[in-house]
Amino acid sequence: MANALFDSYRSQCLTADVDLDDSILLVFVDHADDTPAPTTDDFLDDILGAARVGTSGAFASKTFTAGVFDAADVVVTAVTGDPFESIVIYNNTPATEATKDLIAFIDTATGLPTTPNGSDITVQWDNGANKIFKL
Amino acid sequence: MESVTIGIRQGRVILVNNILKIGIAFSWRAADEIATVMQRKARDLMAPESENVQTVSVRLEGEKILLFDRIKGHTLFLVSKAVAIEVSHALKAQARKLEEQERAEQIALDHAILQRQGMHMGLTSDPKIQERAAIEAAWNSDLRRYIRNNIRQYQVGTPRLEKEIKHG
Repeated sequence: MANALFDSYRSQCLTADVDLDDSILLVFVDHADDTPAPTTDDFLDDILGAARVGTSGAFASKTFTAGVFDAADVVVTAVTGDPFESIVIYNNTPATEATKDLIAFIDTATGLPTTPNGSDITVQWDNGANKIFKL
Repeated sequence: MESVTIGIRQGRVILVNNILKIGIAFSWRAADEIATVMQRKARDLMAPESENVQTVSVRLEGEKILLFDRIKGHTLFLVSKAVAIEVSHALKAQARKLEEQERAEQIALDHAILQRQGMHMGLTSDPKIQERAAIEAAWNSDLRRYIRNNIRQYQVGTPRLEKEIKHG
């Protein structure tokens, strides 16, 4: 399917202000149970509970230095269960699953797909240190 | 013990049995479908044969998974379910790399949106697609209108997953 923003989130970005200061989480998804559809899925309740292999805590150490959002690497502890093929990033601030916005779908990344072995899985952000451009 | 190499050659996903010295090449869509069927069978889930891929079939043979070349009439490999799952992961990973090239334009736009928002995460690690994304982030009029920003942005790629190796 390739990495993508969910259509609903892309539309939000292109029509209104989106606040990244909300609580952002990620979930590992097993496509044998449910394959996320970035063109039609919009909220967390569109991803079946059975397909969610592991869910992170809120991104920690978030900073907005000179407008750039950063956060600590995310560690999902003691992950067990079925192999998973993708990561879905979503906004956890709204109260219900039917209102938690899906942000990004990632199935193309080093380490995907993977089979949990009961140990911690760390999602490391790319440091991108040597390529800076001005917006 | 089978030894299998999976990679990309000339825009196709290739699978080579290093012991038997035989191989096969798939489009990324076919590789993805075969990997899905292989993974489901290895996990004892319902998995009909792919309707779109007629060149190979994936069969459950006792506790092993067999990949059979229908055209040439020979076995490509016969491996345990655990190995079949790892092979399916490798096939999917290579398929995704080729799919990324086919959908580069959309990925560049989405990547640009995240960059313009100041998100420290991208949707591609391909330098050429990142370059297109940087141009979109800087000059796309819709992005400039709705995601106002005046920052120096790092060009960042996709996150990577690190799994601890479990000992003993």
